[in-house]
Amino acid sequence: MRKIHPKNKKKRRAQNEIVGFALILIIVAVAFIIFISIYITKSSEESEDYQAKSFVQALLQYTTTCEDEGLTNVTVQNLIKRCYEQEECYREETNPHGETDSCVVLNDTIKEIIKESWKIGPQNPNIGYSFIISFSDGIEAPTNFLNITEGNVVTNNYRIGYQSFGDSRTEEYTRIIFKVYTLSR
Amino acid sequence: MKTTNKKAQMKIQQMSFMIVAVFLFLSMVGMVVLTLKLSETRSDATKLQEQNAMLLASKIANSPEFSCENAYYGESDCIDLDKVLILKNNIAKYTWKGSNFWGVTNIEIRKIYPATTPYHEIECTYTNYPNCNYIKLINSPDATGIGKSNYVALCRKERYNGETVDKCEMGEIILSYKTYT
Repeated sequence: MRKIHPKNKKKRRAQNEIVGFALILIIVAVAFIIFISIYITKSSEESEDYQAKSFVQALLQYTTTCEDEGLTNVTVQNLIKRCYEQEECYREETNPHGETDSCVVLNDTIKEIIKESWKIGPQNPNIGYSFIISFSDGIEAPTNFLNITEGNVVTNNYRIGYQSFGDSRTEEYTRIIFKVYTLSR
Repeated sequence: MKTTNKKAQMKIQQMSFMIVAVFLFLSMVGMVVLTLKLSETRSDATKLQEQNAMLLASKIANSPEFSCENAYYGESDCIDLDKVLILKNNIAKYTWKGSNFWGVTNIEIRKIYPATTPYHEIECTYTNYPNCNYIKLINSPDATGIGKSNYVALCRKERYNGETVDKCEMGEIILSYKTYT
């Protein structure tokens, strides 16, 4: 059997200690990285923005230029219902009391109001938005039927506002999700 | 005997170095965590202050003097503009010794959409209403402090084809109040 020289034995022990120390450092570093990643994901949780919510609330009450069968101007909330049910509305502007696609009016009205209210653009703090309207029959998950998107919507910084309304008897509901993408929060 | 002593001393030294290194490392980690937490608390405080101001805007919009209540189909974030115009002409009743009922330095209601083209600033009076775009309710000469706005629906009653109908437009309520720090 080969005898290990005492000097080599000392060297090997020192090497073992260095490996142990490095292991401890690696474990601590991994724990630190895990902590930081949990911390970051926790801070980016989405919370509802008060201004975005108020905007959606006010928007739903807006009286559009389209009329119903009783010649009463419909609100955005009613127009959403008409758009989903593919009912037309009547607009004096296009042709006297001519039938108009309610989804087109809805789309244009929402776009115009957002343009005037939020000032979206690359030179502004608000760089983009998405306005999604979905419908659920109360049984299945909501399906989108109107999706308006403009500008830069790839950033993770956004202000969000939700609004749901529907029929308590049938459990049908319409859901609006409005996101305004910003440069920084 | 001497060699064993030296060996033990070396071991103690090694261990103390190790403890110091670990302590330094942990304190550095602690400092990083503390800095992160502190910055989070600061941003939370700013956010809370902003939200409170916005809540105040909403609270005023939903107060009986401003809100649509049951006169319109709107539930919340809806201002009865007819009521506000009357309130503007009776605002003296809401001010007393330089302060007012709502404790703010400025209340302004602006129409956003449909906008007048080309854009003109027209203050609402009994004579030009509703062909106007803003109502200044309270405007203190020392109107400084935090200014906040929130979106509201501006509703009014209108005559159309011989009938009274509801008409709601998009607007905002802007207010400023003094901060006491």
